[in-house]
Amino acid sequence: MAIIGSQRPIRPLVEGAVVLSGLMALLALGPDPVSGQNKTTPSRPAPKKSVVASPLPVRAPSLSGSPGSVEFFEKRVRPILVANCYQCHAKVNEMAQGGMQLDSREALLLGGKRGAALIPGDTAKSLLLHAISYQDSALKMPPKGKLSPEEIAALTKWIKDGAVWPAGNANRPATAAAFDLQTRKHHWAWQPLQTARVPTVKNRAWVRNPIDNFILAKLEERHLKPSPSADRRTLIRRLTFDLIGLPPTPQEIDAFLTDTSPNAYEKVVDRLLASPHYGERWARHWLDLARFAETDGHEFDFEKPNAWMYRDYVIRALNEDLPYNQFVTEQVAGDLLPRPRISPAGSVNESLLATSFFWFGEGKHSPVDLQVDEAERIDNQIDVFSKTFLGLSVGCARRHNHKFDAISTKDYYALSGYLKSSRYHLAQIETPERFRPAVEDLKASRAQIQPLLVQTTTAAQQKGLESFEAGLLALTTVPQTRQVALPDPRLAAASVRALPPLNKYLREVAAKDPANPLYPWFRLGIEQAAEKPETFRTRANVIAADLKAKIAEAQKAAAGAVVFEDFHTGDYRNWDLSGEAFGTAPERIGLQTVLTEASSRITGVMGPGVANSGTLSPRLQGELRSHTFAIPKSRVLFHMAGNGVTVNLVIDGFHRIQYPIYGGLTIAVNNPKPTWYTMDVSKWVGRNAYIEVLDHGDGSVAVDRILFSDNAVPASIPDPLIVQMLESPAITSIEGLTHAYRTLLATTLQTWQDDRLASTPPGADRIALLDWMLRTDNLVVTASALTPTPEMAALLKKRQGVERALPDVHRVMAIADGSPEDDHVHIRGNYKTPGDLVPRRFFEALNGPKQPVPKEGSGRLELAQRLTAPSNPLLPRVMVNRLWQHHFGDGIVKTPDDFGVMGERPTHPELLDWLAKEFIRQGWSIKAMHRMMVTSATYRMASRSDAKSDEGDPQNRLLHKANIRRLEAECIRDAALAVSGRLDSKLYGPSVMPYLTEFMAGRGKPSKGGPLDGDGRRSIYIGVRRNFLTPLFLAFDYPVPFTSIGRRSVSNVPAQALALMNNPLFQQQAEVWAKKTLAVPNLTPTQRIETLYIEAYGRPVSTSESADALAFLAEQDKAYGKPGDPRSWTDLCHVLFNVKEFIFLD
Amino acid sequence: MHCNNFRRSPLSRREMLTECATGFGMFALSALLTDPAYGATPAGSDSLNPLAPKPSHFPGKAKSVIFLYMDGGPSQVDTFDPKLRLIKEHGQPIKMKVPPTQFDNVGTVLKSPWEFKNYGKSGIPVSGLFPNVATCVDDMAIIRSMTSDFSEHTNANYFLHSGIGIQGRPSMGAWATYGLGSECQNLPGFIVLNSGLIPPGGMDCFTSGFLPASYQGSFFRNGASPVADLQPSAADAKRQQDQFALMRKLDRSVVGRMGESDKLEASIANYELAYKMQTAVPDLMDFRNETEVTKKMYGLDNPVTQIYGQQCLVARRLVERGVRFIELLCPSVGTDRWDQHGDLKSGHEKNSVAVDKPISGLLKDLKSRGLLDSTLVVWGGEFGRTPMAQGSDGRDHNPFGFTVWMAGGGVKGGTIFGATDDYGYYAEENKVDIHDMHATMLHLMGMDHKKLTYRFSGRDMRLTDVSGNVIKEIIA
Repeated sequence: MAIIGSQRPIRPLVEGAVVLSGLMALLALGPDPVSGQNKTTPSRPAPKKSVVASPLPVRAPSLSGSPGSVEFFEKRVRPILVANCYQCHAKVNEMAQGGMQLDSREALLLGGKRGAALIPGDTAKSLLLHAISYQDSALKMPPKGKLSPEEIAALTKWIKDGAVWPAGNANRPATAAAFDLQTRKHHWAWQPLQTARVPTVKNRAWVRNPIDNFILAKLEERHLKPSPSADRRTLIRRLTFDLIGLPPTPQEIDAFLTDTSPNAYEKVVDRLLASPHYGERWARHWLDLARFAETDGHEFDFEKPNAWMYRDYVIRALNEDLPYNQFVTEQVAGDLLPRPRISPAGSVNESLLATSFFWFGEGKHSPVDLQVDEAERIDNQIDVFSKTFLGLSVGCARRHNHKFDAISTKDYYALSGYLKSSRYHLAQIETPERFRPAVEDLKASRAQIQPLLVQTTTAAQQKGLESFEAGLLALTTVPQTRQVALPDPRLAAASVRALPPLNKYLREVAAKDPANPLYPWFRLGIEQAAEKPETFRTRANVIAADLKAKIAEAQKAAAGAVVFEDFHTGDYRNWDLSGEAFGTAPERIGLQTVLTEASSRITGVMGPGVANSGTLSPRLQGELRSHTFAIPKSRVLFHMAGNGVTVNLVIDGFHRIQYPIYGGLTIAVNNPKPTWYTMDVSKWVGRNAYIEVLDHGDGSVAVDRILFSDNAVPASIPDPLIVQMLESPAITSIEGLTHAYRTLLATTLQTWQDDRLASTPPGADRIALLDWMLRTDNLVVTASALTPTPEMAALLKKRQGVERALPDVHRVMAIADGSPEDDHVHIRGNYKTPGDLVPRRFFEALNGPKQPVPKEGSGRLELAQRLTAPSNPLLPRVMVNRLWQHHFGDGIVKTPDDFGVMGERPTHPELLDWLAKEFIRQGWSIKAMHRMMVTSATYRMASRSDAKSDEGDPQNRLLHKANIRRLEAECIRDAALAVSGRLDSKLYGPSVMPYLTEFMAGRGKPSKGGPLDGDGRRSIYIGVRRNFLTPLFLAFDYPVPFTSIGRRSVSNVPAQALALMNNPLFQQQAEVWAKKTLAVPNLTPTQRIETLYIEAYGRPVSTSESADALAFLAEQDKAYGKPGDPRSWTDLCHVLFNVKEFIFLD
Repeated sequence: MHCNNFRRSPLSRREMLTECATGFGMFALSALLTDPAYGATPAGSDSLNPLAPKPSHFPGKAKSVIFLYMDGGPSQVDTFDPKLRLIKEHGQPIKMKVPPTQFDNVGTVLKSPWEFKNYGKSGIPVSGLFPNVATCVDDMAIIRSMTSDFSEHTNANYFLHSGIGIQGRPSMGAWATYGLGSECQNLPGFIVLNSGLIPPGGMDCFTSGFLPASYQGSFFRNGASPVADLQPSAADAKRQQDQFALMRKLDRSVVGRMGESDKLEASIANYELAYKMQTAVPDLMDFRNETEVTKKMYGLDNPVTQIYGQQCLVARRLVERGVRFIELLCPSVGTDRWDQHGDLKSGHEKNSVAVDKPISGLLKDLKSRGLLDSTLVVWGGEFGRTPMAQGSDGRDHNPFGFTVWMAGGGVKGGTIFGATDDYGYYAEENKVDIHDMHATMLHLMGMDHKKLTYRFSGRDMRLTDVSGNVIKEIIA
């Protein structure tokens, strides 16, 4: 078996680059004979030093150096370079494109990543001329448009004449400005966590915990006073929205107001942190970072399978207070943990589920260039990874070293390698343990059933052979034979029943296919019936010779094919295996069976060497994924049998295989007969790919062989055993031949019974013949012969019970290790210009230049370890800053996703580090951080302050008071449902389809929208469909999920006012709310208004507000024509949704 | 995140608010808001209104922009870029290297099924697809050398609209409104007139992205009620006025409780624009004062041109009201958008007939009203089409060379700029990319594309990313 190497192929360089690398080799041979200048490149041995010490002026053999040619340069050449090239290719441009500078002769000779820009005197080999000629579609310069013929002529002449460069201008250093990591690392964010001393303050009585010391110290420094504490009503509303995203109920408010214990406040905090709604609230913040969405967006907005399960994972993790470092580790490498975290019910592999994190990006269904698509996908993954966990904006390092931060292009491609080495895996979320008992039972059952089955089947077949022989004899056109009486009346009856189908088979199937075992019999028994032995033999020999030639021809055609896999090794050594269906190793002989209580039979046999997912039960699911290979030929051929199974070829990690371009890369296996399937991959020869066999349903597949070939599928080959039989001189009549058939088939059955099938020598392979017998058994065996015995029926019944009890399988988007692979730097972000290979590693600024390379697999687990290591100050800093931002309105670093030079600096750096250390000290407990933050005196301040403090801290960056905040979109909707009483507090589960308004249009629109009130579910459960995001949410700054959004904008658009005034949801909820209010008996309108106020704003209504509301009701009643009209109350409730207090927190 | 450009002394607004809330009530407020002097409040005094007009970087001719987006990519060689070579080599294999195309079904050279004629004083050739627009060529600058980076609709649309080929970046209309505010205070500053076809890429083509949401494109449907949630939910106008009045009273007590906060007051102010839109939009859609001649000029009398004609007319009316940026989407014509992978002849014809007359009506109407000089009209798709056939009678996507034209707003009419090769495949002379187009549009509005920035994700972001050159040659 030939296995195609798993090495990543050398990517083809663009034409120009090939030319140039050759040129560079030439150039490296010695100093330039013209200028005498050293033009070595770092990667090549240094040439001998030039004997010419002074580089100037340039001396060329011809006329260069003469005043005339300098003049030519200055007048004709330099202006062209300045006008057309220097915008990108000059030293002043910090990141000279492609590393190429064109502003000094030395730089021109040194060149860039593609080699030297020119060879003085050699116009044919000068890259510059090649580029400006516009001949090479991959290299056309200047990009804005072709130079004029005169300009091209001038540059050509200049190079031909030796590329003269005037004195005083050639001595500039030719290397691009260095990226100095050490200097850049001085930026505060890269520094280790500092152990900050908790500052002492004057007003110690104000302090509740160390946070207050840090805040107050700064205020005291500026002679500012913190605001007084807010009242209890304000506090419980603030706390409740902050921690669970809902308004406090009147009962909760009452309980807090009447609680006289000293820890009344802390009790509220603990109650809220223990509420399952806490997870719902804070998961939504996390989903903003994970650019969570349930569809791919793009043209058709395809579904992301079970994306909601990740949402539930986050809710559960937060509710359980999963330590943050573990939360992070699971999302980065949950698939690789030696001991994954299993949900308490034992059913869900939480750690694996966490890795959905990687797959929420936008996805295209038919990108023209898969390598570009892969680069874009990985770019989004790196972007989200580094913003979410590290608050770093790494994206720009894709094309050049970061302009300001200590992030190099190599850092970027070092991360890229981890993702290139990983794959999309639609993974089963149930743990293997859940299947183990059933699998054991099925194995035991198989051990009992299979021998019985083989026994019954072979017995029935052997028996059937008798009537098969008789039937053939009855059908032959040889007159003499037709008169032979059948030996046994029973047989006669059987064969008469079998005659019509057998006759039809011979004439319509066997007659047409020389590879069919009965083809020779048809020729000799019907078509060319011969009575004379000599005639018979001659005809038999002609047919045999013909079949032999066909065998030889087929073998020749197959010779060019490469066997990728035939499962002969007896193990899955070249495959990643998951699920239960494929067992732990390929089978030598794979049986296809139908096992029901009514019928048990073997329908086919394949081998030797089969990856069979139907061995134990078709209900079991599983996957095989090959190693990554470079596609060697124009076709991939699969020989397999089965149904309900998908086989994909994943090229460059592209898993969204769809028409129009990529539909040919997927096969729906849907034929129980062994069949050849072809994938035309001629467009992708040389590209990296892997094969995946996905049994994700109640079907199964038996994969026999996978070939790479430039030819069509192998023709079906006549069986050598048949040819051999035909050639036997002893057979001289059709009776003889018929009997020989019977003997051959009987021996074949015997070989099977003796379990010698897989050990027959090459050329005497009986598997194909046996498979043919089994598949055409209706010709010889009647169904009644296969009715299960009572013993068998009992076994089958038991087995069915086990099958039925198998857990249902749910699949989620997860990540899995693929073939390990490092990435090249893509020069200017273009994969077509690969630069240095970068080993996988974490940021150099954090872990240094030398990091152990991953030993096996992708290395993501090591990445997660480095990410969560104490040596990484960013992970805890970024997270505590996010928590702070959500509690206080602004982060200590106001740009939560950018801790780099372009981000804002922390207002309280010591506090930030103190919190980060405290976070770690408390075992990365997020809830502990919440508790600390919200129990501080700082958090409890009122939003109103005195004029002096407002003047001293106008933007409240020092936190002298609480910030007034507008609620997020989800809170506004949830609050409306909560006060109206419609809120369904059910947790978890598939998303509710968003309500589709007539304004939501476009491709991929769901056929049916959800209900207006979203079934009363909380907003986090409303489906996030990229192209059909809920307009009501968008109006209130719900983020478009394209990257990590750690901080939503807070805008004011008329759409918000229009929504609250006129959107049918608020109108509907106002009515529900009014009905609820009026349903309480024996209340005065004033009392009802009091309740509405408490429900909506958590505070009693003021006298004037109550009076205004009553006057409004009276006015409405008048209009509606009767006092106490419910519509008046609906109108009032609707106004209360629109009063700003409903959407603002103080 | 907010750059604070718009935050100035909140006093005047608060005073006004207080006055409205205590004194005049709803009608007084409405009266105040319809006062032209209010809309003309000079920049600097209107603290809370992000749409307040702002000074441009330098004087620009274009006060408003109308972008006629041609969804799907009209063929340049069948509209404004005639190629003799296609006629000569019709049916032959194309004699140049063909890059991978979207559908990878490369056929032979396909001549244009339409004849070109020369029009106007400038004698610019236009094909039979645009006989009406052709009569306006002396007002148009035709850029024949456009290029894009993407050969696939969605990315190309994001690129065309936002200068970056990915989802979620601010659309050019958002940038324009962010830069200049709007002259209209009772309608949004960036309005997208949806004639039926939402481009691949969806609403994100019109997003404000990381810019404040005030600048996002407001979607106006085709038809009498173009805006969501505009229809008052209250039983009648009086009910709503009462609700509004109560809301204002109760809001006042909220401001009293929570303290004076810009955020609160901005939110309160928001209701004013929303409230005004409830009447401004119906007024916008009320065509009773348009003459029959005008309506006919836009093709409102013909069911084939009615939808787009109406949107073009609405566009003019928006320009009159001072709205900054208006984008028109194509109508559905019973076949695909301008995306004729097959059946070029009938598909392109259906698409062009639906828009040709309305566009010429718009240009002529603007001109006759003296509005064309201050209105930049831009026509174009996300890319063009291949000169060779896809299959036998279609054309595949072509981002390497296509045509966009501009008219009015300081553009030099009767101009052709740039050229494609003999086949009309690749832009060859004076290449213009999307960034250049954006830079030029901003320039015509009086903005330096390098100075129109917004800090996001640690960078000063621009519509033109890190590129863009103003095409001086097409500026009058």
